[in-house]
Amino acid sequence: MKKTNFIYWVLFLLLLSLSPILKEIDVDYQNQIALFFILLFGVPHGAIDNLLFFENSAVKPARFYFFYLSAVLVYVLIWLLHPISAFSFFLVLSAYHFGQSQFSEEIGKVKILSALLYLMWGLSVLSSFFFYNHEELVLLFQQHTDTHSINLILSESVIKTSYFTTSLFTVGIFGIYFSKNLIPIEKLAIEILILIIIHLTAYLFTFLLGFAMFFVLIHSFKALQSEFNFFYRKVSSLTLFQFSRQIMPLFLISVLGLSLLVYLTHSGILNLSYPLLFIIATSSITLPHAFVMERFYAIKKTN
Amino acid sequence: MIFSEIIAIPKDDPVAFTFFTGYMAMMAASVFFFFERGRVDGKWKLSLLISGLITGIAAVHYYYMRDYYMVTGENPTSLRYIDWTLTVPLMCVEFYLLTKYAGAKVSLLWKLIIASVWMLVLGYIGEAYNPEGGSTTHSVVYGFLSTLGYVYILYTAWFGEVAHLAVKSNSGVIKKGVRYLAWFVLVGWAIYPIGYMCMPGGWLNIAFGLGPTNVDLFYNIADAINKIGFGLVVYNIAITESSKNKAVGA
Repeated sequence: MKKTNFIYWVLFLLLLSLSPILKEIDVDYQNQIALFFILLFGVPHGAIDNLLFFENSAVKPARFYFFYLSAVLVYVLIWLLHPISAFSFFLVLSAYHFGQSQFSEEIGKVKILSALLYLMWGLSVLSSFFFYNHEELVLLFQQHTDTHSINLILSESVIKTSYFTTSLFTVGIFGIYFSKNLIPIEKLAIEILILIIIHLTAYLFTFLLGFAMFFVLIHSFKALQSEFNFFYRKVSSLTLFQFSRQIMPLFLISVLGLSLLVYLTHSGILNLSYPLLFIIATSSITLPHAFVMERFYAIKKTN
Repeated sequence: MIFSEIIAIPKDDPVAFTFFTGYMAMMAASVFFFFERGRVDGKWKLSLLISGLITGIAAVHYYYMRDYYMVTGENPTSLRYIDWTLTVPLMCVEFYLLTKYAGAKVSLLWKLIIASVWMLVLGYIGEAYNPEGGSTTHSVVYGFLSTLGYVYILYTAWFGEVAHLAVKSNSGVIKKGVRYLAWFVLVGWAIYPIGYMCMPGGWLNIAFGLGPTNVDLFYNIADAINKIGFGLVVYNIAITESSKNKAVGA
């Protein structure tokens, strides 16, 4: 079992034992804590995209930054033109990206099946958070006029169908992997256990708190660990402090950029609700980040 | 107590059913471990004796617990924790004995015993001293503190000293066996908190209306899985290693 999975299990148990008290805490306060952790640990795992890309690449930095920022802007444009498509694509892209970071290091021999597993696992995880917190999300998106369209995608029947279908597909793909001896039984047991715990997290906690637990521990920590190991293999004297310093510039730029967006929204210059602002900002960054990570995992496999 | 009164298990009472089944299963497991002890190499005899003692002690307690439950219909909390106070540290002894030949020190044994006692004493305070009608704060605080002891044992089994020593043992069977035991701690021992949260004031009691009878149902299932399963894993290691040595000797 990976340490990140272990930490997740422990945190889940500890929070589970505290859940009656957690329920007494105001949801807004829970959301603020969750957002803090998402920013603190979520942003860093993408704040090294530039260095990951420059490895094994002859592309000049200026060109990389140009395309990276262009992708961000294109995505913002899609949001302006067709929010439903932008949100749907964001969900699918995120699902694939989550699945890829979960499995690419251990399961990746059968290309199409792997890609299908990444997508189905990610969708099963994402839809579990929507399925078990549907009421909370619908209420949140109903509060703001600019998020009404998102509620169309989050209709109960769509989420329910997606949750059960993708979960069944995920278990089915696990079965295929096992029957073809592509996954050891212990690894399979751990993955099934982790999937169950993620679903229980979605069920037991509020949307953002549960998602933060998953996103920080299962996704971001795991990605950061892979990234550190990747550079460590090249420079064995690399310390955690040096690695953090490499992350720092883009991390600070991201935090400053996000703070600026919050300020613009707060002062009414940007006419957006906070939930939509957060979704647009996250999805726009996710697009180029997912491309960089796709390339990163491919390089890792060939190395 | 008249025997005919004890034997009458209500058809719709799974708790009573599991008390009886648990008692018989624990007793049968003890007999098995004690008899099989003669078939394994000398260095494994103590491990099998401990396995037999774990299920034996549990069998005696289950004998009393089933009666207590059948007569009063209440949770035999004190008996339950007396049983655990004896058997859980013995399970930690199993970890120590398995890794002893790879260099495990007595300090490892003490650390595991202290963690298990911490886990049980705080669990007992949480359960036995729960105010009338149930207090969520009381249940949560002691549940949380007790879980810390469990987390320590879990860490030791998966990533800590026990895991390192298993790798150092250079024995595939011991590595595999310790890993199986670590799985028991991870999944099997996690059933206990579910039972704990069913008591009045506990989270499952508040959220889903699960009551005190469910406490015993979960505990009985968990005990059967963990105590007998734990022993069987140890037995498997002992018999495999002994057969291997016999084959080399021949």
